[in-house]
Amino acid sequence: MIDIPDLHFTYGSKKVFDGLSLSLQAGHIYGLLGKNGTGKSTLLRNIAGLLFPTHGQLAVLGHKPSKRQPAFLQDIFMVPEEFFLPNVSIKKFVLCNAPFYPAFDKGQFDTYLKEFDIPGSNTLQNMSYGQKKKVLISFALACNTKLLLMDEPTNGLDIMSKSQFRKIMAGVLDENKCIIISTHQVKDLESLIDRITIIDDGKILFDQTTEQITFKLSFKMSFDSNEVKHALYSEESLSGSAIVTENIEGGEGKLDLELLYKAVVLKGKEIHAVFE
Amino acid sequence: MNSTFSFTRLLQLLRKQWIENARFYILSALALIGLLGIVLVFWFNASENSFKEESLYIIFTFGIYIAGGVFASMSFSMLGEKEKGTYWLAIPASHFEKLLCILLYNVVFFTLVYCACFLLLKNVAFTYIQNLIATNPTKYHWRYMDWRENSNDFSVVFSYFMYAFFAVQSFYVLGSIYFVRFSFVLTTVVVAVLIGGFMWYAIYLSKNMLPNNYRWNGNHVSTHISDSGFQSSRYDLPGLLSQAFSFLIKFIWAPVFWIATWYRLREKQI
Repeated sequence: MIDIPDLHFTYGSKKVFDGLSLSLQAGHIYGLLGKNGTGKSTLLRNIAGLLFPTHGQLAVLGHKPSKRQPAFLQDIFMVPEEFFLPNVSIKKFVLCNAPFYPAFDKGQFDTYLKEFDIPGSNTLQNMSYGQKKKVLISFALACNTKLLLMDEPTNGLDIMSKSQFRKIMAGVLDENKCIIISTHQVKDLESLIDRITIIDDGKILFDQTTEQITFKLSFKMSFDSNEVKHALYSEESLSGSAIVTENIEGGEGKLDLELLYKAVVLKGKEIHAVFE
Repeated sequence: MNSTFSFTRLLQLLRKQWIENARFYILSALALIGLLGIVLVFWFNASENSFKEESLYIIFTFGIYIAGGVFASMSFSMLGEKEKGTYWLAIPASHFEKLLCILLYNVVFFTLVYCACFLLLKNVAFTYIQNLIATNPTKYHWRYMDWRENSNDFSVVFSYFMYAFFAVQSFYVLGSIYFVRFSFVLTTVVVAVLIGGFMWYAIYLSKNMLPNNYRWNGNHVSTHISDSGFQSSRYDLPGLLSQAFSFLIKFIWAPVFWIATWYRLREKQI
């Protein structure tokens, strides 16, 4: 669905991607993680055709995103971190924009609005940031595009809304869709994401399915100093040491995305060795 | 699916543009009527009871240039803001359709609305003046514009100003996509520099390329030798070439600027 063989991108003289290669398939929810400024949003914008590679090509749904052809744009929807909605009612917003997306489902949109507890008669200009975001997320999901890009989707959502978001997202994915979520709020989306991609220094640092991760690694709290000493990664906390070890016992444990991220960034060699 | 142009998509875009900006367009039209009204009031007071239709058309021309330039320079203002630009560029329509939508609103509809507003106020002013003349014919006078070809009125150059207006307006649309901030001011500076530069270059060429006593007069070259023997010659381009040249000079600029705008839009990144 998305094929990025060798992506180079610079902002002026600052190199963001230096030969980044990535391949993403339908039927998955990808979590895109990385430090501030590593280019997560830039990657999403390259995929969406809002930015063009400095060098190299990318193919999304068989199209070249930079051409921004209607057939491509109607199969992709991006929910950016900073978004704009016009000063119209929800009804008029749907009237304006839905016709551009052939797979848009009004019934689904109304259902999502109801789940998010947004009255359909509200006007967008009278809504808070969080409410507007929920409207945009509902619209994005109801468009049923093959590719959905979300940049920090849970930013601005209250605790209940985050729970509603997870519930909705869990039911949205099918074998023809690909969802890419760029986020720092890993705890919000831990249970949703089925493939983790970590970007660092312009390249892919880590790219594995959650199934593989939980099969190969174990995440737990430990008070055993010997166990902590031999862990792949460990960090002290008030309730003991949070550690990442190789999963020797077999089976699949619980994934701690935050711990995994830190382990990959700080102890990358040791973590990669387990997967090799 | 036609990736370049679909009439259905264009209509959807036009409807979307209207729904999202109706309040702005209506308020702008009302502001235009208000401003033109104020200018006409000043004109009425300054005319000292002797009113000329010619001055109304001069006001019309100045107004359409200024208002048209301001409005055209806002055509792609959304691309200057990341959030609005993302929203607009992501609409599933081709660049050509998006450009056509902008041109239809900011060029065609604007011109029609401006003309309608002006004619409305002109008719109100004309009716009022006619009533004044009817009550006191010795004090108040009205002079219609002379639209004949050989007249000395503004009517002779009015059509050229209108041809130039569409070119200038299209240049401001192009400027709005190049200059995301202070578009009107920067485009005006560029227009002034380009026109000034062109005029200087044309004068320089005519002075340095033509022999003494030869003069370039727009669409022909003439020479006049006096004192010992009166002789006057005029050199014109062949008829068809002259007509083609004249047609291009009048009408080619707007399409050229629109095409440049389309290319720039395709290259736009947010």
